[in-house]
Amino acid sequence: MIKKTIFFKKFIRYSALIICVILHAAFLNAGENNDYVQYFESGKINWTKGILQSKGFSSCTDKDKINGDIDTWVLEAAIQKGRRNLLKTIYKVRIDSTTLVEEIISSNLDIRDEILSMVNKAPVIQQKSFGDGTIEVTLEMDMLFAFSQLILPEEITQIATIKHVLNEKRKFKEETGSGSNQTMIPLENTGLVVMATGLDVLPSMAPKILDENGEQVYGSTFASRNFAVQYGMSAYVRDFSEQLNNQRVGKNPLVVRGVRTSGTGFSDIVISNADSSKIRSSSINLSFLKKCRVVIVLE
Amino acid sequence: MRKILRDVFCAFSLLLLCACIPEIIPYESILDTPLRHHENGMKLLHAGKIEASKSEFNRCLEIDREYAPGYVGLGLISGIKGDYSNAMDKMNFAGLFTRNRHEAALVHVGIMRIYLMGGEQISTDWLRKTEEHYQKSILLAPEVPDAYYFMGIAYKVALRWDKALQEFLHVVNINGDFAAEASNYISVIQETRKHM
Repeated sequence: MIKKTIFFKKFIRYSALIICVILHAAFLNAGENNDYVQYFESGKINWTKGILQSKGFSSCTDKDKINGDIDTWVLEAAIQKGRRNLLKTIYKVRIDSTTLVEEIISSNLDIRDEILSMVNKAPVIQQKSFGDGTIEVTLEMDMLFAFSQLILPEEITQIATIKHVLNEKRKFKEETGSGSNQTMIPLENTGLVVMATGLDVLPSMAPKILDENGEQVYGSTFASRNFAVQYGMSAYVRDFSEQLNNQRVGKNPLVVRGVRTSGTGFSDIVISNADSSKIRSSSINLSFLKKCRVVIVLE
Repeated sequence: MRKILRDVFCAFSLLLLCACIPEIIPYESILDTPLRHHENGMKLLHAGKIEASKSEFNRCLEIDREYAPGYVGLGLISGIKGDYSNAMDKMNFAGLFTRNRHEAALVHVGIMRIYLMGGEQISTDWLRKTEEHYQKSILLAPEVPDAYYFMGIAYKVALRWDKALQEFLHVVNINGDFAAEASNYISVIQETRKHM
């Protein structure tokens, strides 16, 4: 009887511990659940937040031979390994449907040196020390700003302000001031959401949205460089929820459905001609495309 | 039946003929390897032919973009030109690509050499930092004489004769690269101390 009670108490204690661990893990991952993250052996690319992360481990095997602070040595070695992994992760970033960063680095010495400098300056965002003297560090690098400026294709240039042409009905209403606040005129679109689940799309820094005839609906010629550098040409998410994406695509985004991928790299998305004409129907749409207010939803 | 046999025989003969065609081996010059270009680059660098050595190191990296000694060479060139910040950047790049303890040790030697070139222009604490990299280098590859040799030179510059002598003796004992130069320095130091 006593044995049974002890067993029961232990069972309760361990169960509570396991539940706590699960809840803690769920809480920690809650923020990343909606993020589209590509995992590699060397690290991960968070395409929603536009960040690269890699880890490095090190432990000391020659403790007796070191004159100095062993922890500093081990930490330096872990950071170095983390940087190597970060570089390997950078190689795998897809620029567009045909090009990876690795190919650019191989052909352009200046870009290679710039990227290596960025890797060497990448900050350690987390450091864990284990009891056996092993140290694990996590390094992070921003894919936006300097990295984007360096990597984005040159054809993405600065685009001047787009003048809006109001449709006749709206113009008349505004001029005459007729109608109540709750008019029947549809609200202007504030962004573009491309539902591309089930298409096996591979995310890239400069994706293209094409119509069924292969004409570009969104791509390097539509986005303005300063916005593309600051925010990325598009954000990739796992699940579209208005609350999370309002900041990027506004309150009334135009939602279209991807039909298939195009090209060899699986990063360009084809939408129906009907959807593409909806996007092309207004100059206002050109304006949000210029500002890269585009979200691509992947599985 | 005869026809089938004839066709089979023809096909078999064709296969035999194909087997006789020599295997096409892609042309690869034994001189066009990163190792050879690095060796040439170092020789040219020590001979003072900086631009020629630079093109050798660049060729190293064209063949193998992750060849750490190539970056060390380019870093040394930047150091010679007085661009110490770029030199350190190149050494850090090299550190990203080391494939074994020997290469990692040579990167630390490269950094020691940059501190030696720049001295107080890089850091007032240059000797201590050189010592740090020396320790790392000999921990990684104690058989490589380069670290002892350049540490010896650093001590000589800092007028620490005893320590310099100790390092140069180590180089002579290893009897590899820099043995002759170290031997000369030992004579010079001993001569200098006689007159002191």
